[in-house]
Amino acid sequence: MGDSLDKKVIIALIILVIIIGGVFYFLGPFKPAEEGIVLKVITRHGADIQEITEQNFLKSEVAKKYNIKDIVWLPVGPHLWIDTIKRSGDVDVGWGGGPVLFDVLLENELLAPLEGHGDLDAVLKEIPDDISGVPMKRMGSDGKVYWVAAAIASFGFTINKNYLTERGLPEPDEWVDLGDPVYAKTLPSPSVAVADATKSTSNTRMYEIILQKYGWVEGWKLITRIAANSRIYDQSGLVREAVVRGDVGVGITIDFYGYTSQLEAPGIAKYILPKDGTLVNGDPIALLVTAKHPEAAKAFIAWILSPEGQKVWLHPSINRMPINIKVFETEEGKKRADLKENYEKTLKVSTIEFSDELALSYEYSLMWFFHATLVRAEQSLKEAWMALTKKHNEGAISEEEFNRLVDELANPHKLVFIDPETGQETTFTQEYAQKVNDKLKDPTFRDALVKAWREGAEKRYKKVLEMLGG
Amino acid sequence: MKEQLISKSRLREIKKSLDPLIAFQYIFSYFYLFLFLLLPIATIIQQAFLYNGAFSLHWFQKVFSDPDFFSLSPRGGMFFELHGDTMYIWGIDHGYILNSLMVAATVTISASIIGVIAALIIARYDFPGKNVFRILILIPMLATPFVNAYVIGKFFQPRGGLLNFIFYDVLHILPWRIDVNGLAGIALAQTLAFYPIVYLNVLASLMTMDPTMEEQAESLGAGGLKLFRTITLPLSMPGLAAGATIVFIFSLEDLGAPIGFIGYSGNPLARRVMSVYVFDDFAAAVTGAISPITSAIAVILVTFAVTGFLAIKKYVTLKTYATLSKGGRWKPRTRKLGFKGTALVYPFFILLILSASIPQIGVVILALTDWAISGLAPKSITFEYISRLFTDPNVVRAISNSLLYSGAAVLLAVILGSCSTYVIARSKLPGTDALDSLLTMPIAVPGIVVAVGYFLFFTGFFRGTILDPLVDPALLLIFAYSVRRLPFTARSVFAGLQGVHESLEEVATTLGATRFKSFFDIVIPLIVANVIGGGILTFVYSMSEVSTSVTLGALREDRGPITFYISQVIYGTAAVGTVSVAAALCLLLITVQVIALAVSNYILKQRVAFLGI
Repeated sequence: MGDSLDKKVIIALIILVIIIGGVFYFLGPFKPAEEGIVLKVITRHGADIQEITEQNFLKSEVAKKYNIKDIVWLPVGPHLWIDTIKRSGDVDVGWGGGPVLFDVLLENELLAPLEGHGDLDAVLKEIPDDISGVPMKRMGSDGKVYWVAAAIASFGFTINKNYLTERGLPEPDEWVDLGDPVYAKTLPSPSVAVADATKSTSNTRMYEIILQKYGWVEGWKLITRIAANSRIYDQSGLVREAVVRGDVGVGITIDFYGYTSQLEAPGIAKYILPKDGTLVNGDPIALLVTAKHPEAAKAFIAWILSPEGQKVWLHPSINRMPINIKVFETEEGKKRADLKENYEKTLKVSTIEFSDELALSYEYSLMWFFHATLVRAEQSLKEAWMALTKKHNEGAISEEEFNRLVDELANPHKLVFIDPETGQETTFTQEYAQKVNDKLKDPTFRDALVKAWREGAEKRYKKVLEMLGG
Repeated sequence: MKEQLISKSRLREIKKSLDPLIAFQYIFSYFYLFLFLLLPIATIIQQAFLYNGAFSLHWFQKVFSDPDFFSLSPRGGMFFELHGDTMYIWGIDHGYILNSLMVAATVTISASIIGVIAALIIARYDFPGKNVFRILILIPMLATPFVNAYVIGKFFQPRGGLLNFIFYDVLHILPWRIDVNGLAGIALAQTLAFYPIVYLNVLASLMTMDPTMEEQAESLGAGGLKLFRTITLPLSMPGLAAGATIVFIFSLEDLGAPIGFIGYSGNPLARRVMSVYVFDDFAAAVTGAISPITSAIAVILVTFAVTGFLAIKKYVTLKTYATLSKGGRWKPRTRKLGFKGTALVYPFFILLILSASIPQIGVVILALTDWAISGLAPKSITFEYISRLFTDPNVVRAISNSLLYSGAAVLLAVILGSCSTYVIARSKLPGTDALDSLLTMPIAVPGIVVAVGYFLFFTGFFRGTILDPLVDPALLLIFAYSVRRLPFTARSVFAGLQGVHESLEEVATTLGATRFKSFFDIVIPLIVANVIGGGILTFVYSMSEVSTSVTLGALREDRGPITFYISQVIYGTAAVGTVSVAAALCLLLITVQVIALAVSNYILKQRVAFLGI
């Protein structure tokens, strides 16, 4: 008994040692750096971008000049940025996360001006102030630059040609096409894909685009029709995967997901810049007031904006649009003629008039109204929409009747509900959305309002179903 | 005259038990369990029952009066509804609460039927290949979180899925395509994953049953069904009850299957279970606040789970459990199966094992081929995804996080497990029965509830400290694992302690050793095998833990363990072919599990009956 016990103990100890050894092996790369500067960067960019950037930057001349030995990344969810920055007290740079996030940081006085640094000042001159009227640099009230775009992105949709052809569906080329009843043909298996606004910032941006392009009322009617045609996912990347897999024929995506799909499924997947207008966003980089190494941080930022730093966007699994066109003159840049083509298309794209301020003013309301009326009430919406589009596609109801019923189904001014705070009956106007926007941060109020919206939505979806005699 | 609450002799007993070691172990055990189990749950309960500063059922009223949560009439869904050329089997929506209960009930019943039949065949019959089936039938126990539902979804895909391709497109057996998703999909995935739990429990009961009972009944003329109904089934009730209840609890709290289906197809019904509701609200914890309705749902979840647990408490606490195993094995009453019997048994097992192993087989194929993007069948083999386990920084980080957390959790669980079981086994202090229950209770507390409780409690009382999950969830994940997987270590150690007679320590004491010395010099060496065996199980099940990993772990992406990374990938945030990387991670988990379970089994042999979890 003693012998066999010893044998067992030895085996177990060997295994333990292997595990511990493995841990140290893997922890190796995370050993603290030797003395020198360690930059702390809070970011929304994925680990692939972090890794490539870190590799390239740490062996660059700039890093050597400023004695930067390591970069520590803080990948934190957007709603936790302010908390994290304040609590850490030593974050140097913020990178990636969209202009809205950085505008919020500016509002909260967390950004420091990008000035007084030779390399940075020089490269900033190479960066355009705006593209198609959309700011690529944000100036403070003192006229100084507080954030600058390190990459640009457009919004549109990605189609799967095979799916559309097999089912006899048209290739869409405008936002408004996505709400067309023809795509409802395949229901209950939706042929379009979108993501829940409460779970995806890029999709929220696209809904904002639709609202500002088509106005509050027509915008919400379109968003509702699109959602009724769609599978609703919890992440934007899944929308892309669904298109590539051929589960759906079209999914709304940010441009680099579209370009990646084209590489994944060449000849089948295609990214479309909507003809009725889109937005070109700059994805910012900025210096934080909490920076412990402001000079080194500015050098890093200058490097990111330089052709060297911009090469990270050219990586075949990243496929983003750079902000500094000189990157296409580098060796790597010359190999990505396809991205250069896309870049030039992006510059020429017809952009809509877009106000970030307006978008921010009702962003939470947009997210939760979407969630309440289109996700929580998804089943009754689709039931009504299926019946409605069937009658329409068969020609059983006239175009006017169809439009009238769509108005009943989706006009925000016709959604009647009781405001949980005031107890008053109201409808979902833009003013109301702006009024409750901040209040939605309180989970109790949000629960109550989401319930009110959901119930109101379900009621009118059922009403439309009844009107159809269904 | 005041009644004496504790008799004088009892007091003397307690005083005798109380030496520094026992005292420390007692206090430490309770302190740990209070801080990391009871208080977090209490925080949820407090929020759920508080309205306008006073105790109130307000939130529960709100929940039960809202048809979105509780509706006796259907709110939508499709169950065997034909549209075009596809038969939709998604389930009918009755609100979050009823949906969860219906799914759990369905899963429990189906898993029980399968488990009982399988256990009976294995326990009572002999046939060629039996030992192979015995092992293969346990394949579903190899955890493949999220990817299992993805694989099932891919398998059942109406267009381009293997099932429909074979039975509809090629063989034309089915008149329509089948679309299994939503609540039905979840129930299917969970049944296939959890039936081994019932199987193992019933098997244990059947094996430890006194065979003379059945023999006597037979000699009195009872046979076949009557024998089963009157003797076998009632005697195997403990095993069946324990297994079925655990399956019920696991189904209620499971996040893996629902998230897998939601991620794969965005199905509206797959969202509508309680575990996903809590998970979603967690993700929306914008300013670090969780809504009272979410707490109410968490309380409902816990109530169902704990009620079930209390019902089977008799069969799962340490003391009874150890006796179960000590009962040992009688010579099993097996009968050789004739040709007819074998002809029936083989298809049953083959069908069962094949369908139950779809997730695991799918994981292997996804990890080693291009199946994720090749459509119906894989077109080429590749080791690209396996290599990403060592080269992709995201993946490497997730792996090292998991190893770190699980390793640390095992250490804590071993210390806590040894301390607390020693107190229960050796001391006569009051409160040891309660401690016994507390040690096994984590099985009953849904992981998502632990996550919510930790969030509420630690952001509330430890804000800004290293225990604040908004600062860094790593430490809390370690404590969460150690508590959630504590029953494994505790059980093993306790069974080991049972095998160390008290007299051994008493002899040491008479020779002058303190309790402290005899604990470390006598007891520990004799239970080392149990500690290691239990520790290995704790490690393995910590590596595959889902609920707290995907909620607390999500608060800082660089702190997320393997299961968090897999959930992210099923949600498609990262780049190309990442479902395959998730599958590669699952393959890694499977390998670790197989090795660990084999080693643990080898070390523990028959010392600890295996309750299947």
